[in-house]
Amino acid sequence: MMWFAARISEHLPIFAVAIPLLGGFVTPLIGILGERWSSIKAVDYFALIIAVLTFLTMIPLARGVIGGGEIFVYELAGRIPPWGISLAVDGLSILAGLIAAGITLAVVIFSIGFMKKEEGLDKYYLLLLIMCAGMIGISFTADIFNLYVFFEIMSISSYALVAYYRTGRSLEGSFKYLIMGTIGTVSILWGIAIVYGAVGTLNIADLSVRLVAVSEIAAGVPLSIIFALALFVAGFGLKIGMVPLHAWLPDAYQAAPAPISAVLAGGTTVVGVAALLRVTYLLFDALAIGYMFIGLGLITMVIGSFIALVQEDLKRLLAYSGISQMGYILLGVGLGGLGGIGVSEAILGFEGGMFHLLNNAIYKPLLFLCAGAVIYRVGTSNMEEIGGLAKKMPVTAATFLIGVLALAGIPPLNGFASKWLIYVTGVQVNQPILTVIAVVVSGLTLAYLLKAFTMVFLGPVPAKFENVGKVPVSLQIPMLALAALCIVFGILPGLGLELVGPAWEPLFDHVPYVEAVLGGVIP
Amino acid sequence: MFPLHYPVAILMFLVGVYCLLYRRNLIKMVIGLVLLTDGVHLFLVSVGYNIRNVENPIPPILTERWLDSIPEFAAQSVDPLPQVLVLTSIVIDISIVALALSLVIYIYNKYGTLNPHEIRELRG
Amino acid sequence: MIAPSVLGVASYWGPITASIIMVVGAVIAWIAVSWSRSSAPQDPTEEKLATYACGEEVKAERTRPSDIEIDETRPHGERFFSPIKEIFKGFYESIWAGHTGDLSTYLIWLVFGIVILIVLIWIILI
Repeated sequence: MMWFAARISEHLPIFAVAIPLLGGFVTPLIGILGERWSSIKAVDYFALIIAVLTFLTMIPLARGVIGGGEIFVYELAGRIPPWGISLAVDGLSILAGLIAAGITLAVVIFSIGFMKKEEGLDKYYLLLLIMCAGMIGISFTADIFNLYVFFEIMSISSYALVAYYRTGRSLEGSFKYLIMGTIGTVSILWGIAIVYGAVGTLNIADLSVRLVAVSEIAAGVPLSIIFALALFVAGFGLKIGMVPLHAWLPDAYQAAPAPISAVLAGGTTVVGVAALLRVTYLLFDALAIGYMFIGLGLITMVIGSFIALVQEDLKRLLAYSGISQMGYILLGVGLGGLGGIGVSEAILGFEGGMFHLLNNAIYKPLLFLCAGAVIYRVGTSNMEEIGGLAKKMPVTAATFLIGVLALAGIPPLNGFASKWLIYVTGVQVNQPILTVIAVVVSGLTLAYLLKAFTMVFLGPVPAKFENVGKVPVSLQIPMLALAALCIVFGILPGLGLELVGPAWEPLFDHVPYVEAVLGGVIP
Repeated sequence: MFPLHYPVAILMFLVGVYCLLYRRNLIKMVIGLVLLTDGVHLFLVSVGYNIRNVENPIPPILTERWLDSIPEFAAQSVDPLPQVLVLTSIVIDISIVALALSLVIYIYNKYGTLNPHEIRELRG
Repeated sequence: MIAPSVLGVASYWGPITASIIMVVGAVIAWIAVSWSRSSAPQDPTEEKLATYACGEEVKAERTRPSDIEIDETRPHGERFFSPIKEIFKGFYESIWAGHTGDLSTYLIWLVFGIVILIVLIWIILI
């Protein structure tokens, strides 16, 4: 038993990527066998087992990285870097990987009840598990072209999942997402081409070492490297919803099934931010880009919340709210990049941004799952037509209220802790205008979220919804679990900061990461 | 003639972008998408071609002639790694195009038109 | 106004000060809302709504909210949206109206966005 455990624990990083990938491909087979031999929905439970196993592989890695501060490096096929592909699990990777695996688990549990009446469920779980494999692959990889391939795996599965209900709106949303998403990933490929042409290697650690040499020889940063950096920022920024590249986001989130909107909001944005940080701050060592992130973050915050004020559809409102929260994260991360001002402010800003990333990945999927529960019972997400559902669906109403208060930044929930860190950093770098704008946007956030809550859950019930009952148990479990996490991280923000703490280390101090990945082999 | 690889690749990319922005037909937009991605693939292969700084590089196939002098062979051949990357990327883009075209067929069945100006139920 | 150091922003008094300010703000908002409600015209009572039916008991039928267009019984809908759209008219008519749902418009924004990103990064890094 111990021998077995030791062998598995050597290969844990690749198991974390391989289990959802292979499990996803086996799912249609299980579906066919399940239909033939018994009548239970075997695909649901098989997907649940795979999601649980994926989450379990993250736990020993998390204990090692966050508790011990180690960096796990796994070389595929035993080839030495930089000529082979490696997986490197450091603080930033394990944060993104944990969130991706956790949100996938919650969404699979939710889908067991939500998708019960749909056809073609084996393909749904196939795509969902492959998307999870893609997300974990992006966070764990140490090779830039491997990052592009996993990014495409995640994106293509999400294009197909957004179009799952083949209604006119779903297809339209999926097509817009496809066209814009492909332009984003093609920009990333072009950036890889330029960087490879300049340096000649594809390993992220090796690239970060050699690009410094290139700019030293050229006495200043050459124009092609600037172009490559802009292409990378554009490619990843499109995925996370940075203005002006955000236009696909509301259409895709509105048209997708609610659990898919949850995994897009919680999983792909987190992984996109992790990849963006790894490429700009670690590969290019361009911490000065923080100024641009601050500016774009402010614009994103303001535009997202203003447009969310006048939305009538619940999922579209939550999508614009997600764009607004991404503005907060960019503001925090941008403040973290300005290491020249004083390293303690930079660390504070960075911790605020990353903690807000973690919190956003908890309460945004919670709100989307609650919207899904409402749609499951009522059939529409247009807020003008529904009302007064609080008495009929008490669990949904309570968890939605917790999510609303957490997002708006009310103490003692988790949103307050992370937004407080961002406000404090804005004051400490002597730019109180940042704090003022952030506070005003926070007030607007509270306004439109409370409006959404009162329109959906309070007030009189329309005639056609008299017989609406409670949602089934499998929908309630993930909502309750995420709401409990909101409360826990709010009362004990130190726990969240401990999870997030190791994430900034590889971005400011490259040496441990580079040494761990290259293993002392400097060609 | 000065090397035309990079300008032609960038030109293909720009023609693809023009097709996506200004053509009012979903299938023409998918063709623009293919042109765009193939422009970047051409760019990537040209990077492998030009990375050796040799006049006329030879294909990276190890024949009997070069078996004794492998370092000279490596210095004179095209870099094969970008070609492998482009193969991977072409496969990815085929799946994207297949998905896009099936979406176009479904959209035509639902909306009856292929003009993106008229397929605008999600707005605001 | 009040200097941030007085409010104790960067020490452990900060969150407590923020909570107190939030509670005070919520109390002020509740006072304002209840004052405006008490000075607004009252809803008619049950007795006034009852129809005269020669001594029989006829319940007043309340029209369902989904039957009438502009709805005064629900405190949202048009009454929430129209003041916001009036105040920020410039923003909503330029930027919100720009989200037309047309894919070509979004792609033009994408191209301009990439160009702006290139220019900004060039300015920062040179």
